[in-house]
Amino acid sequence: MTCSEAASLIPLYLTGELDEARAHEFLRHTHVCADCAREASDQAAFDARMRAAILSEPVDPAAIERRVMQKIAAEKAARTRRWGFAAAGIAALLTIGVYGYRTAFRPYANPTFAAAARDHQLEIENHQPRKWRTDLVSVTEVAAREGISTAEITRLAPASYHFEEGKLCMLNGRLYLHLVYTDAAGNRRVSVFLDGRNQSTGTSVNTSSFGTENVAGFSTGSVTAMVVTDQSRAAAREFARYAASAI
Amino acid sequence: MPHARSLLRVARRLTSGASAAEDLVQETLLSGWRSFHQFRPDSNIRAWLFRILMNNFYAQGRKLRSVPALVPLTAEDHTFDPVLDEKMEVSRALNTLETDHRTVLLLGVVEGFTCREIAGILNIPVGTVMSRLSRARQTMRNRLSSSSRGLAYAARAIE
Repeated sequence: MTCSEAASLIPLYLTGELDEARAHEFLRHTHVCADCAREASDQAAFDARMRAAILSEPVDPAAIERRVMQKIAAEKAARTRRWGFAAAGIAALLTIGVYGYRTAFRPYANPTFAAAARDHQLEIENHQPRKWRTDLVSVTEVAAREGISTAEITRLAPASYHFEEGKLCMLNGRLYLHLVYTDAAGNRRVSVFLDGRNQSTGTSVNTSSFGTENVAGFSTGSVTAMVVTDQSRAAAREFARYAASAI
Repeated sequence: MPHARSLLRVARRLTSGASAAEDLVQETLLSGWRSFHQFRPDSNIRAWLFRILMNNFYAQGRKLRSVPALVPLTAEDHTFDPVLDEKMEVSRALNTLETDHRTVLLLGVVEGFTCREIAGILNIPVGTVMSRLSRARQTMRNRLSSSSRGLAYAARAIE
């Protein structure tokens, strides 16, 4: 090792960062070179002198620590407030999102309701031709095969409505008896879809809207039914409630 | 608060006044608190805080990079005291060093960081740290030596 190399290694020697091999080489050089040994020793002595002088100076960080703690507390409080606002914002967004979802994707939430609404619109409001049975006897024969009694057909409509026509139809993969009821003036036509094989308990009425159509569904011990009308949602619900209590 | 004393000691030697040093340390501690999630548990928190201090110091530019004021004297400092004279001499000599050299001496000699740690704090190669340390030590020793000779001459003249 040359004196120049040894001099360049003194900083690493003083901080103990020389690996074993280089430290050994450095010390072997300083054993034979008095100048380098003195230089290393002088630098170590200078370090001790400087350290003692600077470390003896009074340093009081108390005021800084106090200010930092105050600022941290203030930032934490502001952060909590921001989280509060953010939580309120998130809640609002969720509400809007749920409302939007329910409005935009309601057909997908209850596909059978959506299919019934579409059927009513095409066949009743747009008068697309279908093979309707208009005599009650013929309809009750079909209904009986589907587990629906004549009494259920005649009783389910309020007094202001009368049976007009009926047929079997397929909604969302299931067979339904599609009955149409009309008021005395013949202006208001209501579709009732009945499934006599899908019986469940509970008679609460659920309603949904699909464009201009409003659907109210319910189940009794004997049938599952959907009432579809282009009248108001309340009217659909009212019709369904009447039908649920009558059947 | 850990390491505030060390940070303030170095900051006072880098900046031009006590309030600038306090602001620098305050900002360093707050930055450390705000970005604590970035700290790796297996690394040295003291070196991490000093790295933030030096980054803040360099980020604030020239306004902070001036010759620091001397540490103020207290009443007892006005009496003749060889120990105090020694402190003042080292302090004066240190303040005359250029900032880069003063920084490596403060970090390596006073705060006890290794050359590799200083390289990490200052984001410079280890070789640069070593050469700066050597040159800084040499300059300090030259200045202290000439100052001591001056003092010895003055003392003899008085006798």
